[in-house]
Amino acid sequence: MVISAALVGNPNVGKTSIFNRLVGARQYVANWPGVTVTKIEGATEWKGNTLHFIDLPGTYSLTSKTIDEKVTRDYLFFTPPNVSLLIADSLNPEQSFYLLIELLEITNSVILVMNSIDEIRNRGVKIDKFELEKHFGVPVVFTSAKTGEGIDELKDKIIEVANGKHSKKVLFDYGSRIENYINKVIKQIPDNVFTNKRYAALKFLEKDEFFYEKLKSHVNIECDEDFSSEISKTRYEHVVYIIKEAYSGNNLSYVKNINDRIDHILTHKIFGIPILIFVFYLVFKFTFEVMQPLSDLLDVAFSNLSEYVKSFGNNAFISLIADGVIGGVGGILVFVPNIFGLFLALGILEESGYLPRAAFVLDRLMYKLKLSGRAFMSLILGFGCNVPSIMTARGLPDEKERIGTILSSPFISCSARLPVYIMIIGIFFKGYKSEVLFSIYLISILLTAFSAYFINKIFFKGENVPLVMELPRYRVPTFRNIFIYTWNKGSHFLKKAGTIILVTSIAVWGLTYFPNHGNIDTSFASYIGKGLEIILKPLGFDWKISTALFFGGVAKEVIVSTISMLYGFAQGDISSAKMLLSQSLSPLSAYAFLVFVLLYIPCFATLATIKSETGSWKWVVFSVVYSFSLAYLFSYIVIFVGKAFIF
Amino acid sequence: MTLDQVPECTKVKILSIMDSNIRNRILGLGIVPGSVVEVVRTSPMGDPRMYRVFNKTISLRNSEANLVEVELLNDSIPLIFASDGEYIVEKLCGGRMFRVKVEKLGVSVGVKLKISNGELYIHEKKVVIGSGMKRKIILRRG
Repeated sequence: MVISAALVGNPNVGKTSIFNRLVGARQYVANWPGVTVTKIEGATEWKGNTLHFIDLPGTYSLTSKTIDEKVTRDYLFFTPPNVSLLIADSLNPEQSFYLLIELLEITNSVILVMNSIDEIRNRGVKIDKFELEKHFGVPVVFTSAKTGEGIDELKDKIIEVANGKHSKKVLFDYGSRIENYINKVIKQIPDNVFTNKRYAALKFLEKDEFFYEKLKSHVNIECDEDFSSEISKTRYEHVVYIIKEAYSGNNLSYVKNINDRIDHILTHKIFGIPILIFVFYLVFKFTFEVMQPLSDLLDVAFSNLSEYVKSFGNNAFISLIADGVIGGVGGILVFVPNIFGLFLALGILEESGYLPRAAFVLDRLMYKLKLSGRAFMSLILGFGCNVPSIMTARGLPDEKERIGTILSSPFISCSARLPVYIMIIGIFFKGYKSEVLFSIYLISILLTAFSAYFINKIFFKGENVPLVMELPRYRVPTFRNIFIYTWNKGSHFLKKAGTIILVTSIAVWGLTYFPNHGNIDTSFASYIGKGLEIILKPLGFDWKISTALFFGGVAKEVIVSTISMLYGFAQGDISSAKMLLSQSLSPLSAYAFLVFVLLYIPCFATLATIKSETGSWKWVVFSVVYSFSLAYLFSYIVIFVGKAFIF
Repeated sequence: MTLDQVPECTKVKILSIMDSNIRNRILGLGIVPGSVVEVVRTSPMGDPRMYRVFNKTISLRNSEANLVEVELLNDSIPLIFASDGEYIVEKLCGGRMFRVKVEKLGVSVGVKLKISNGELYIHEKKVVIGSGMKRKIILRRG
């Protein structure tokens, strides 16, 4: 028997850890149709049954206008799973039980999973399972995602509930006044509109957008007051009463002490921001220096492999394998250690509870850009590579913010652009190296900020992104969760980016190899460069530079290798490079070139990620057109201003 | 009074939440009429702030906290909002420097204060305290 089970719960209750315990790393990630909310599914075998799990987005309420809440609610309401698991935080049960009451209005096949039961025990708190089962009318399982306790029992219970055991309807009484209105509304709902009339009536009274629109033409009640506060209040009264009945032993409130002390330091008025900068400095240091030897090793391995393949002869097929496949894919695979390193570091920050604090500290700044503090985390990663920065935007709870972050992050100057800057600056701006580099990074930051603001303004009418965020208690991250986190995010990069890069590498190779067997000057690529030169002429770029820019579209670090191939100098041979490159570029157009490299179209891996994360070509096209226009405009300004004032 | 005006360390009771896009999310978090919220701390740039609802710590921007109408509790009144009457100092919400400073003025936890005609008296002696410090002295009605 195949049983579908959905995991429902507040953010930060350990929902994903429970999910990982249930299915391990054998999960797959997709987007919900039409929206960019992550959909995580996985399956496992248990006693001859296939259990298919869906990890729904974390939410506090099933009545709302935000995407996460809508996705969760619609899933439960329109495609109900066989069993719903309500994952509750045993230490902070109030909000979890509130959600449970909302969930019970949709379905009876619910299991209440009281997670973090080990922590509760350590604190000398007792929970009476039977009290909970009695009041909510659903089976209760105590689990600990940390130790794995209760997971087998949970699987057993899922099968029992799916087979119709334990099913009984517990109605929550909202008091005679509201019940009166509920009954009035129920009577007026036509049979063909909703079958779960009580739920629809409740949502109508709570002014849930969807139900209100659907029902307002059918339902006529004389008073139009908003009942949502009153209904919520009644639910919380239930919750508080049940907790009083079921909890005994030590009081829970002293949990806060140690957290407060850590928060006092990490979000300190004066030290909060320096600590944050230092933490991110360490993350970068780890990602790009500790992991670098591994990247270098891969680099050497790939170039040796390519040399080895070339030693078999000189024909089109060998060149395809050596230069196209190994060279192209290898060029991207060398970033894999960095990317895994980055996710490892981020996983630790996320699991320990620091990341939400960082967002808290920086929110004011991001608010000005119509983003929230959480987006900052994503953007800052872009200095390493834009791909993970777009991928981590998944964690942003707001659709507007996610799109804004995804589309502005390509302007963050990633590390792949650095080799280009270093080469050009080394050749043309010897005396002002750090100043020129700094100015490029400054332009990068300013244009990222501008883009975030601009994109929100034109697509989302300048609406603010709300920040209603929980700051979870600090915990020591578990090895298991960090491993799964790193592996899932990292392998996602490998799969998505890998396939696209393989295809484009082969295409690029084909364009440089044909029709004259590897002679680039007369290859198809050179025609493309010559074609592009017509457009890029006003910026002072000739066909060779244009060709380099064309290939740089695949991956920006390719610009360096293309230029050295086209001009025929060894990488690192500055003096001959200077002489040769001066034929094409003046210092002024060299600076325009730097600006252009910074801004023009995101690399293929980034575009592929934009596609997979937004699920729409519209944003890919926008990103290409927008960034190319900005690049052209700003490079032209450089040339124009430079000519007018300096030369 | 709205939640964003409440000084740190103060506990308040929720009266109502104004309608907005995120109203149901705020309600779901436990900010419902009748529940008690504590202002925990302010972020380095003054916005957002951290609050405690039940046992959870959440963060709200001031523009969102502005939607929440609250009233002071009898055992958690910042000096700056105290009206005429007698009080006992419940908590000093600040670091060691702050505590030393106010102790010089005679303010420490457990001390009785009297406010009459908007002026502050400790042991019948008139004391003048700046409004910044008044926000950090939390009183209980005596």
